[in-house]
Amino acid sequence: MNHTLITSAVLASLLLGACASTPAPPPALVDARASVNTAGTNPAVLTHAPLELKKATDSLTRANQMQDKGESQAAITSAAYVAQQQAKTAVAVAQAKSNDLAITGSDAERERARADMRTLEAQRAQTQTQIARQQTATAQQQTAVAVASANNAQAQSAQLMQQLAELQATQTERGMLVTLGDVLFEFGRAEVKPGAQMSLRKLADFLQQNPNRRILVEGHTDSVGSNDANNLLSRKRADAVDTALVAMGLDASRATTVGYGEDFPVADNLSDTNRALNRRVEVYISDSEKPVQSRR
Amino acid sequence: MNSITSNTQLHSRLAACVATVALLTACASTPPPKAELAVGNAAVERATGPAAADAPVALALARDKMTRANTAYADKNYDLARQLAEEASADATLAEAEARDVRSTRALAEVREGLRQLKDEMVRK
Repeated sequence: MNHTLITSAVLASLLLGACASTPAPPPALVDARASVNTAGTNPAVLTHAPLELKKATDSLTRANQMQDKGESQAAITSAAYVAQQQAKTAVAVAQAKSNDLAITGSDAERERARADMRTLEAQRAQTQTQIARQQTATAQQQTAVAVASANNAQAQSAQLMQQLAELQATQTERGMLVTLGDVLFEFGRAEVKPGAQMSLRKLADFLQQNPNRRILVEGHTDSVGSNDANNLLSRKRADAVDTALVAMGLDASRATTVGYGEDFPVADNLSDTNRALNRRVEVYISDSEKPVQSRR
Repeated sequence: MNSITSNTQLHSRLAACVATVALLTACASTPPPKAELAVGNAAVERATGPAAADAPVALALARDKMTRANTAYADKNYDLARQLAEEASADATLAEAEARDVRSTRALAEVREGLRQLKDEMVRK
């Protein structure tokens, strides 16, 4: 009987002892309390992971109750561990959701930036188009001017060719050459015959329409007679042509006259025909404003 | 012995017996934690895909613990099995959450970098 009493007393006291003095909480419970508290005061967790937080706090409550009831260290530690892992989970979930929101925000920002860039590019493209249009318009204008100019020049050139053809001009290195033959002068004289008027008229018209041209009038003779006489005659004939042209409106400053006598024949002087060829007045028309180059 | 002493003795003896019986009963009647084990296994299974790459350590911890839970269960150590299963469940859930956090952090960094490059491009133009 004494043994039974002592055994029960010991057992009772053990039980009472266990109930009366709560042992210190295991480290896992201390950690869990801290972790759950941290999570519970984290604004991101409260916003983005409230359910996960509740799980953790419920688990912590269970662990605390086990501690109060004096359950085994192992059991309390396990329950506390679960609470702590759940607190960490709440934090991780909150972080992930927070990042997701930031991504959405960035997406919006990127779309705005893209839109801005598109606007910029559109504006730039529009400006480019305007510039291109202006350039095209200018180019077209220039082309039109050039075409008109070319047409004009062509027309003038055609006209010129026609005129020169009518004058029976030939191209030489010193300019266009119109030859007034012997038939236009009386034999041995320097007066221009009326028959020459038409040729001279054409020449005068040509020079009027081409006001930048100058002429050099050269008188030539055959070899019959003295050099002096021929020089004089050739000079007089050149002057006669010049006078006639001036009378038709040519500005005298545009013409120069010279007599070369028999010095520059175009054929031998051995036949009547050839001698007639040598008896001539050559009118050289400058290709530009510069005066015709003389022979010597 | 007088009657008072007998009563006190009787009460303490009764209390001790009840307590002992209660204690023994508590130990003997832990049911097999089938549900907890099922939940634990399922949680580890679920975490295996997503967490494998981005939270391998946490996943390994969960898996290891679940293995021990299954062993304890087989050994009929039901209290231990339940505790381990519950812990493994929490570990697996944490592994999933960590993996999600890692991925979202990475994605955010990429998006921010892309935005920065876009803005640089705009400034250059």
